[in-house]
Amino acid sequence: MPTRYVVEPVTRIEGHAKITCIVGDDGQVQQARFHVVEFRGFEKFCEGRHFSEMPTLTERICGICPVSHHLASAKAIDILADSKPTSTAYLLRELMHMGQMTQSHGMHFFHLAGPDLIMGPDADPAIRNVVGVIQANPELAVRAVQLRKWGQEIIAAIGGRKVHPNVAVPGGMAAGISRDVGNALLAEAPRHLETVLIGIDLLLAWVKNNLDVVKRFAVFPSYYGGLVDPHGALELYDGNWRLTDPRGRVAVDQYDVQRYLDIVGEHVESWTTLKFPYYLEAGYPDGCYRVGPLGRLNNSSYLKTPRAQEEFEKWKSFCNADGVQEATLFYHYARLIETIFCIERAQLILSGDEVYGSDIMAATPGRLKPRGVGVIEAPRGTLWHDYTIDENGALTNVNLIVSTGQNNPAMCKSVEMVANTFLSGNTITEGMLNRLEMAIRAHDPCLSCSTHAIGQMPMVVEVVTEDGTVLDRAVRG
Amino acid sequence: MTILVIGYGNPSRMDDGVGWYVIDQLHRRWGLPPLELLSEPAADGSDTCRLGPHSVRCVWLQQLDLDTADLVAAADRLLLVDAHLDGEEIAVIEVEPRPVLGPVTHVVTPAALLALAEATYGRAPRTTLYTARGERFDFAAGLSPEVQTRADALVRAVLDEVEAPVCTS
Repeated sequence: MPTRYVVEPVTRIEGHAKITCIVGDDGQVQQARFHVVEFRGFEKFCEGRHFSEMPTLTERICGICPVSHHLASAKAIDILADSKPTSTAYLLRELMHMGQMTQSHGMHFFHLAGPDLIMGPDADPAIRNVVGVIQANPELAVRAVQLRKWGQEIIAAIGGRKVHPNVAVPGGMAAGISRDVGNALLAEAPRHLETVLIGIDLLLAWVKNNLDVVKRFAVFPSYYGGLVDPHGALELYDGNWRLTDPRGRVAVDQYDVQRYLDIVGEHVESWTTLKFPYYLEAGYPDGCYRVGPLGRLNNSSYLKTPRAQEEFEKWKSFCNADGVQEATLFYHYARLIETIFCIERAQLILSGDEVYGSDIMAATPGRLKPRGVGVIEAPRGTLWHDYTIDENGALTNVNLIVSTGQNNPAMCKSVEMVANTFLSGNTITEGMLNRLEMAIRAHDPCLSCSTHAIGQMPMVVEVVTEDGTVLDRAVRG
Repeated sequence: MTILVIGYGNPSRMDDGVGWYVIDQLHRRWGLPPLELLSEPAADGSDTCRLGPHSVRCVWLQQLDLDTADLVAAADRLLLVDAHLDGEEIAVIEVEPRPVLGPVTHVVTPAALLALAEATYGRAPRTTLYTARGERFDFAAGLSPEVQTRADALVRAVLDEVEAPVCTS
């Protein structure tokens, strides 16, 4: 009889997640399910409201990446209002986004993923955490905190506050940035770039010492999606969509994001409320694609900033013969390369004159368009905001496709592969638990941002038969 | 003594906004601007108020995060205000440093925050968590009637803690 392993790590009212591994009589994991309760109620809640409220409303979805929602929403309402942002407003938004990416990526690598790498996957959970990292390398820990703060200071400098800025409006921005503030941010940038490079050294040293693990740990083919500029270079704030196939060939290029539903479908499974986006032409599940840092680098021809491009070339040396990186643990390297890109972009923007201009808001012609799709590359991957309005500007339909949903098939696949490698009979081992965490954490899923409750979130692993008999159970946290 | 009061939660999710409500009530009592007039706590700490021998500062956040550690480490006493899901209508919990982070989320628990402050800055204050059980977490502003009563009780409990030493000094 197949055996079902259940991992239930989250006890929040939203963002519930659990892992179920269904194992056959041969002891092999037949299927892994990473269940996420996606709270679709937010979209319903927005209907009937005026579209101009959306950048403020939608950023309340998340306390970790509110800027991404704010800006994706702003891009959608630019279209609804038929108002293209001025070049200064464009740069202000991009700069704020670079701040957001830097703080989010920095926090993830140094504080969330770092323990896996510095302490090792077999270390006791009591020390395999951010405090363990601090004790092992206090100077780097402080630098990492400063890196994150710098990103947040960029957000606050433009948006007035570091969390939930309310500054993007149809056709532009409600506030700009002074040159004094810009210069202060600019002065700190080299130190933060250096911090990221220290992180890369640390990561690559770990990869070198654990190459066999990296090569066996959730390595699988998929499509890869993300925004690129007209020349195929990585884009995070703007651009058109590209999809690369598992062999590294461009399957869809420069696709107008307004028409994404012509090429992307959403598969539904009975066991989760989260939909599975996929490339329609390849069908489900073959057309599932990975987003986020690994997806974006596999999808980009090059990076536009010098130090990031240098690192991107090094990244390519780790790719397979098709020039594709399939290893899940390489999400971390990709994340750090993107952080370099963000710091360099911020330096470039802050060094110019245009971002300090006073022309921050375009005129709105007063006519409305019925539908607008705003797309941005959030830290975890492509984020889509799709709004439809009536003639008075009231929202009649809202569809938000978040990056964690797009990575859901990849997370399921990663969990399945890791469980197959480390499951030992009906016994749940510490090693298996640690590595399941590592596999999920590599994707940096954002499951629990809208609200929270007190209490430690336990990770509960149960081995049960299909009739519900519990054979083994482990609790962590 | 430097006392830090942090109310956290998402005020756009009804009862999850208990922490913000308590901070707002403290502000009003102490003559500070209500939260609706403020964007976020002053970066330079200029919103600190004097209560007898104590410096008291109120901070409101959507969630605890790693950055809060330096703020916490600088305090002699920390009071946290939050909502919870199950259990008693009101709970008062002493928090000890414990460095475990959630495996798949960005949540920083009070215990992990204290551990972080201790590891990074060498100190973590004595900490008490005041929390009310929420009943409704829909996307809307305002507390449910049941939780409104609990929230007012939390305000009183925090005031007892913060203002009592002033009365006795």
